[in-house]
Amino acid sequence: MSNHLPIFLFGLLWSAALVGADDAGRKIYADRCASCHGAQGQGVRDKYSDPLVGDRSLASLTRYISKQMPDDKPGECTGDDAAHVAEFIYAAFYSPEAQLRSNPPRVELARLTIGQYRNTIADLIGSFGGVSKADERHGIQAEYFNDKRGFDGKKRVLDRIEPIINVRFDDSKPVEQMDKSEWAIRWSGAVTAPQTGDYDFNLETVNGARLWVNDKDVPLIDAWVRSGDDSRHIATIRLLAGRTYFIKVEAAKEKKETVVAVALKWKPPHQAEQFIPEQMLSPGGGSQWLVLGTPFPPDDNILGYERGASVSKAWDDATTQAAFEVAGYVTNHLQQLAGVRADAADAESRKRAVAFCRRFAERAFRRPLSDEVARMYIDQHLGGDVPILPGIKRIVVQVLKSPRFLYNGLENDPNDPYVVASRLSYDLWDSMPDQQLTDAANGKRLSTREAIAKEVDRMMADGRTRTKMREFYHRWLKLDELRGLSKPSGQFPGYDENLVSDLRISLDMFLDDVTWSEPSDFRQLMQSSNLFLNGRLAQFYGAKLPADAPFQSVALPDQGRSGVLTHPLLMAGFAYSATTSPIHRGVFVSRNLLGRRLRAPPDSITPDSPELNPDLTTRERIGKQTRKPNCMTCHDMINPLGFTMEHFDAVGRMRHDEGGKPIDSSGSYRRMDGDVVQFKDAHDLASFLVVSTEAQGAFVERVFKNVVKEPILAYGPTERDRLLHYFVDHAFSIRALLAEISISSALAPPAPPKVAKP
Amino acid sequence: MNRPSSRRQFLKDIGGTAATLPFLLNLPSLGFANGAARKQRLIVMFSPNGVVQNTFWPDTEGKDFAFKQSLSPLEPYKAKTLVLKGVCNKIKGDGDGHMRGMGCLLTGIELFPGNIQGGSDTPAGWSRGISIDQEITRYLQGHPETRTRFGSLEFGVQVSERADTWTRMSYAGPNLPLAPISNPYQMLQKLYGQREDQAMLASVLDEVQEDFTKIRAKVSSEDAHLLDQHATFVRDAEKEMKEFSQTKSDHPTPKLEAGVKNDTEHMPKLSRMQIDLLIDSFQSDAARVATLQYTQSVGGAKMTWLGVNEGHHTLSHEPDEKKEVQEQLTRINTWYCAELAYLVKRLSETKEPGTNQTLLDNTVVIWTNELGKGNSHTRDNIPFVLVGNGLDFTMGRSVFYPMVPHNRLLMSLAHAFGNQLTTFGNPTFCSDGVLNRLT
Repeated sequence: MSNHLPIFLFGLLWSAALVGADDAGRKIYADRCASCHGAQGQGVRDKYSDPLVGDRSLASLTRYISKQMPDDKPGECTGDDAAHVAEFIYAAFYSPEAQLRSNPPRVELARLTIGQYRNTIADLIGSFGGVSKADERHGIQAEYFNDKRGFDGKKRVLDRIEPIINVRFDDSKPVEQMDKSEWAIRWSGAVTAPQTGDYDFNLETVNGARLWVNDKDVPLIDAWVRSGDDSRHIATIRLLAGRTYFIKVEAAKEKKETVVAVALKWKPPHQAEQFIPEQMLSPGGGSQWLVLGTPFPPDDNILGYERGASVSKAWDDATTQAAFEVAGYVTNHLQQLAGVRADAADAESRKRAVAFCRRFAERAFRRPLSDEVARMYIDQHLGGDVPILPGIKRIVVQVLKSPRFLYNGLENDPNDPYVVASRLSYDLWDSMPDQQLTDAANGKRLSTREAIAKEVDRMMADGRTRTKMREFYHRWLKLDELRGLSKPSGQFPGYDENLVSDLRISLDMFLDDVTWSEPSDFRQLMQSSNLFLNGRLAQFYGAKLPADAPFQSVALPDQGRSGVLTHPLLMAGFAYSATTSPIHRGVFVSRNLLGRRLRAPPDSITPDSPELNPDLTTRERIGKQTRKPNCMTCHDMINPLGFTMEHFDAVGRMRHDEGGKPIDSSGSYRRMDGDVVQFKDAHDLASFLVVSTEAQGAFVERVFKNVVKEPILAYGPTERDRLLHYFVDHAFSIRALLAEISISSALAPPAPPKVAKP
Repeated sequence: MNRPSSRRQFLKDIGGTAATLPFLLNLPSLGFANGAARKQRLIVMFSPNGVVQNTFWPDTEGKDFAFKQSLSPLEPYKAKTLVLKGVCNKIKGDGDGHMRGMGCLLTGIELFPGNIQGGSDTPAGWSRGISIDQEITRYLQGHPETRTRFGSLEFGVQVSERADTWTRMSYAGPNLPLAPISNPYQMLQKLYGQREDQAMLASVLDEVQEDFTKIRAKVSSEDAHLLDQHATFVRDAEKEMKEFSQTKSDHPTPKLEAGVKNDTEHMPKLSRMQIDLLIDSFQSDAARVATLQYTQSVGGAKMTWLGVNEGHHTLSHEPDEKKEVQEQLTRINTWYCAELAYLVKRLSETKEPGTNQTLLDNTVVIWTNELGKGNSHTRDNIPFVLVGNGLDFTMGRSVFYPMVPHNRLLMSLAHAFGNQLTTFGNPTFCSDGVLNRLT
């Protein structure tokens, strides 16, 4: 990439300009601060090792220095001294602008992340067939056969759509025409995976039965031979989020069996075992995807999004294993994928094999093959009398071991339509371009904003975009890190694994609903007073629904609910087993909603047990434990934010008192510009968040990083503000923001960041 | 349960350590790493539908017995043969005679109740216990000096695609039947597929490195750093792969005749291919235990190459008085015995690597059946014909037992491997201990 060079030069020029800056501040810093913080604020080991960078305003920094610094003699650097040194620190290395100057971000070459790799493989193989058009209906096709352990179409007596797979017949027949003592049932259709991970399928039956998932040939569970009393048959399969998989169950009643009972349940990642819900089933449209089983070492996630910025031996090795896994799949499905028989040796088959391999490499490399590349990767391995099957296998392995497949950004010509196509598809789908996008690139139709916007509009409707947004939300809301969710059993009757599982569904439904409904309004995320509840949740959270009610949006005007801010899943997750945790809640609001930086606590501190001071409320106890000045540097921000949610207990239920004392949910926040805002409760905080440019900007930046997987500053110092204005101008539409991010990042390769002078 | 998907099998083979180990280490060693200790081995060969008693059993006990027609192919190996008459499968309970004959043959324990209905008997499911071949495998795999890559291999010849109680005799545990591999090409792939992958990978990595050089020229120096790092890993992997291929044994990959169809007509050829692969797998020490299952219980192979044009199972139901049918059945069993003799011949011709012995000196083959006699479905006098010196039994004899439970024989096999079981299968049938008069 060549565009880093001007940035670098610009940085040098600017450094030179610094020389004449505030000399008084520089001298104070050198004399009094540098011994602990380092000459360039880089930190000093065994003194203060963190670099001096942050997001406080100059005023706030000045105030902090005059109160707290130097660490051993606070109060010795006040007034003008504090102001001068703060100005120097702020301009030289502390402020975001200074950070940008000292370490100019650029768009780096990146390999595919694990998620991108898995999606790309699934779509690459899927592009050769086996993928059906989704069926919009819900439920599953059920067919009943008057046949002895068989499924002869002529003996079918009943055909209908059932909501879930769960039947029981005690000495009874499903339909009158069923007169034999031996009969059979088949359910078939598709199942959609709500998230990526391992799913435990449980085929519960007292009869013989088998289950196929994502493989039309080999059953996942084969309990066709009933043996013993075990009626639970469990097998695990990895599924990728948002995709729709072929599913089929067959069961049969044998002569001497009096009861027929078949149920299909699953346990999705992080959830309790449950019937596969009706919304996740459809009576047709199931596809067969290649879902890689090869384990990869985790990606770097240190910046809050997965990056492919580094390689390791373990990763290289995983790419080898994965390449062989794919090659094995290809050779096992050769007829279906390439129209070539495994044992074929004739010239026509060879021609088809070469054609398949060329398409495979083109799609994997996401651009047409040059003659040289085609020769190197394909022609020489399938020419002459090289056996076809081993030739194809070798080509697949070589293509998947190639940097041309493993990296995005090897080509950086801004006018290259294939670069644009790849950017769009990885931005929105974390996967390779589909045929339509590739066609647009082939036809050089991706050079204007309008043309790209049209593609983006189409791509936004794809399930993969929804999946990507969902994964973004999960990361933003820390859903995989909610350690407070498990509570000792019996602590809160009714709060159990099933309830938590329902809460995850409830939150996902809310996020999907806000994002993909027409306004797609960010403010709704923060301010909605509705919760998605089913019967079980309604009972626990004080809403009126029948016990077996399905999920629905329920208005709870009297509970003071405010979108994700008070969603019971987060309230329970940011809590201890019996008490709330205003600190966890406050840290979440500071970092994830307001985008503030917080250092890790200087010492690892165990929270005081409530039993030590049974008369204190949680709020009082925390105030007491964090009152020391060195705690308050951060806790003066954290605590008053976290306290606003005190109306929601450790499982997220509304409460008015704690141990007889009324809840005090008042709080405050000192904005980056130094002004202090007061809140009387979480609802008040939410009203602030939706108008706060800090929170809006933090959201914009987080969406950007998760979509593009690059720092926003690499796209120029004004890109964040530009997108923020766009967001505000478009009524805080999340979808409009998402579209604009992908259009502009695909259209305009990052401009060199321009650094404004302080 | 064994699932034939080779992609899943691949993942199973590379196991859970895959993320941390280089690809190389997950590939099989074909060397003989297990030291100089004696390599004891066991082969269980199965053929179905009982035998014709009067053309099978020798008339007399002891050393000076004579083979009848069914066993005549073993004549050259008479000194290494031990014929056990009067050993019975006494397991009762759910399932028809063939099902219990098969499912309890190597497990010595009852079947679970289930939904597999045979004749008028109560339906049944899988066996309640591990089979003796797997118990011995478990024991051998538990000790580093006897551990091999696969432990055991389950060969089949024309075994039905159906998975049910009639088609499975090996069990890794209760309700865990093992599917034999009937396709020799699939077995070859299992044994040697990954070795071919190694050779291919080395060549792939070589070309990928070449491409790295071309691609590197396109990117900035900062980005080139990442590619360089990556290229180093690729280079290291190729180097390791090459070093490994130099140290690995010179045991060649066996060649199979191409394009042999997996159908009854080709059963004689398939049988020889499977036996040759079995010998090869012992030679390379990929396993110490093997089963070789011809068809399945109730197997109905039409052995037209013997001039027999009716299915084996149908014939086996015909009464003793039908002489010409009994003669055909004898011909069928003689054919099976000839396959056994071929297996034994190969064992006796193959050097035990690193010694002056042959594989037969360290191996016992047991030929058995789910029934004693087809038309009565009796599980008394089940054929147990042992060949080879691997278990240090006193060979070259015919022994008659007073209808003893076969559990005792199964225990004896384990004991001969040093696995001192006090019971195996249903303990009721084990009270008299291991079978006497074997040594």
